[in-house]
Amino acid sequence: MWQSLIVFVVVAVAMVWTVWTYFTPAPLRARLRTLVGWPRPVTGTGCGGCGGCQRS
Amino acid sequence: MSKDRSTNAARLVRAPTQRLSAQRLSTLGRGEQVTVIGIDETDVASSLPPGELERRLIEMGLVEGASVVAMHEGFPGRDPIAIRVNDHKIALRRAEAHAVLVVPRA
Amino acid sequence: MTFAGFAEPPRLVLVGNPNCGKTALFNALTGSRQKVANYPGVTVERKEGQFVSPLGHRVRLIDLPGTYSLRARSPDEEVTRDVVLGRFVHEARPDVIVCVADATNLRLNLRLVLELRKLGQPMILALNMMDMADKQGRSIDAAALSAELGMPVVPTVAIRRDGVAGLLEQIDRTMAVVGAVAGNGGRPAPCGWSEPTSHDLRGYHQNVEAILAVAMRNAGRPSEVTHRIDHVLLHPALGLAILLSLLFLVFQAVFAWAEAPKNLIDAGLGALKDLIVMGMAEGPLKSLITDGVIAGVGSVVIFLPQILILFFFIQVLEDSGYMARAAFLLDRLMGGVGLHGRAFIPLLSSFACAVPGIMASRTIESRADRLATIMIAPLMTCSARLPVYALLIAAFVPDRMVAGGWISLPGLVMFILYAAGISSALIVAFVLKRTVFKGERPPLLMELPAYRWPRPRDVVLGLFERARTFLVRAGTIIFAIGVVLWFLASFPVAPDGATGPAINYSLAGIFGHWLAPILAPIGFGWQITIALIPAMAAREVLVAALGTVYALSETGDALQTSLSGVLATNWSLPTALSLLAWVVFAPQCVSTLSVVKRETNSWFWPAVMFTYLTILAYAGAFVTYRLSLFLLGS
Repeated sequence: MWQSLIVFVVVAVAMVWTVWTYFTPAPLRARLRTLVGWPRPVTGTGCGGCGGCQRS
Repeated sequence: MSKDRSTNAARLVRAPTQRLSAQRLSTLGRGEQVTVIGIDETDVASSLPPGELERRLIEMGLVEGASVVAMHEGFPGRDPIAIRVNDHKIALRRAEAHAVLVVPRA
Repeated sequence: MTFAGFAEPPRLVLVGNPNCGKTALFNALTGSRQKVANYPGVTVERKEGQFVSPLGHRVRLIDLPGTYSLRARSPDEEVTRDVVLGRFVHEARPDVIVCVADATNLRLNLRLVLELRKLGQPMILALNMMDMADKQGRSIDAAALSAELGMPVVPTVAIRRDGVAGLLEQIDRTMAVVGAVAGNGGRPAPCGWSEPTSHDLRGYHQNVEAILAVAMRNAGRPSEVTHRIDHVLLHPALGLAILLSLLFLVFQAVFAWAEAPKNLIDAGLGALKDLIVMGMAEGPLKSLITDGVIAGVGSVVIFLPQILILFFFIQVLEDSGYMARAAFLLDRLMGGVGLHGRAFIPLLSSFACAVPGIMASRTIESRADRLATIMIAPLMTCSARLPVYALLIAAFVPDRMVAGGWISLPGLVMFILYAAGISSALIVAFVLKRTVFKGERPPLLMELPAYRWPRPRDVVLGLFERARTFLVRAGTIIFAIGVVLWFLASFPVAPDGATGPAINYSLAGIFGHWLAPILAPIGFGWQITIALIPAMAAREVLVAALGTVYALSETGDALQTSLSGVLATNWSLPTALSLLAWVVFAPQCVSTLSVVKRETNSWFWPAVMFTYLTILAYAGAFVTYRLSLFLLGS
């Protein structure tokens, strides 16, 4: 019984993690993040990711 | 470096004597020693925006006054070529080397 | 302890031309206290290290990709530009720029220094490779150079133990000044940069000449060693012959040397599995650990020795300066199918694994060329295909010598499979460059750096990093996908009294039966179809999955001999050949698709890749199956 429980948790975590990291489109992920109120993730990009030159 | 050596290709049009003896870097055979006198990328078909090839060539040291020695040739078709520019060595294709105007070194 | 005026350790960045010895300097300053990660959103490596200055301050140092100019041309160089300019969203503007210049090639290197100086940031110039410059009889007056440039100039020898002492002291001095300014609330205005025009660039060059006229006491005689070596290595015929023999040697090593460590890992995993099999009560958790985690992650980890050996050679060739020569030699030949000479490195890496290969493609400047290279990378025969090839060859190809006892038939078949991958990649590249990625070839314009002995320390640090990245991947995404696939292949469980393998009743089994009619025309039975589903995660899983499907108690390599016997009696030769053709092309690697997604930052390209490879695989298998059926007259 306890085996099934652990298996259930591991599989669920693996599934959620895979779906979240690899199958959720980035814009949707950002929306969901703000909905839940998580801090904004690090999402700068190399190309044109100008954070504004006025930043100090 | 003398002042007129460092002028750009547009100015060279007005210096006919130098222009006449000018050769393209693309025609260089192995061992030939030349000096760069200008860059004119107008007849080079390129995927780059205009002016970009010129800037890249300059960034790699192919600027007016630079001394160039042709060192090695690729295979087949003797393309690309490896040249020594002052102290360093670069590789480029003859197609782009066409943009570089050179005169034989005295 | 931090500097006065700084709340946290100051951040320094290393900027310089490619080949200026920047990475060696980074390694010398930080040693093994390095952290390598990817910049968010791009797959450019972000290398950060820490060290303690002579006065006892902690300093963070970031190694930026080498560049000739702040006018970025590839994703690598964009990172350098954006970080230096403080444009990178979650990367604060660096406190000090440490510019690294190759003392033997100052003319080219100083132009970047002048471009950086215009930014008005605190700067230090490290004149690297001073030992080489001394050897060439070149004498550079550091004090005069410092006066001309208006910034501290420190000679360094990154490869000598005491070669960076001067730089460390200078960092202390500079930080004291910067800290005092920062403490007074004054910080220089950032971002005084606009893209230089060709006129500006010429101006920089004139400036460099003027500075060199003052600071270069004696130009010395440049070393002739590199030219002498190049006369042989860049010889049109001899050079290519040497390159090909070198590649042959690398492949021999990848397959021969890796055998022992691979067996060792295999034995270790086997022992671990036995331990769990014996020590744990029967149940789903045991099955998850043995069939899901050990079989999934283990089948990938086993390729670590091969990947490390291949990267050892790549690193040595790269550090010695040979890679640029290989690109030079192959430019014309690869140009025949429209590829850039630089595509050589990613494609070579793809023989170990397409994932690092695709990541290596980011040094290709033009986006069209980069995409074309990424698209064909999975066609290179990666090492994950080897177990499948080995299994099928053992089962169906008689082990005898042909051509008068010189060539073994299995070896010949293996060679044909490799050749099929390479030639189809060339054809695809040819078609892509003539249709989707039309246009002029981007120019080849690259430096051929002077030859140098690779430093063991740099090679080891590089390899260590490769191993770490690979294992982290195996521990995260491959682990997760292994678990998910195990679940799909195990549930729902078989009803009591069921005949046939349990996988038949699982979600994957149901899906397999549903797909079977589609794959019947290419000679695949339902067993192969089911096995192909978990093998979506990675090709080598196919071997394990076939074992499971054929209701055998063990899986993987341990059983290959008996599994191949089972296959030989169960399958017809056309089916086996068809499956081989399928494996040559099929996009059966979630990791590859996900890295393409990350690299291109869109779902479009992985979708295109998946579609075209699936079509190729189906067509290839169909033709192979029908043709061999016809030829064998059955």
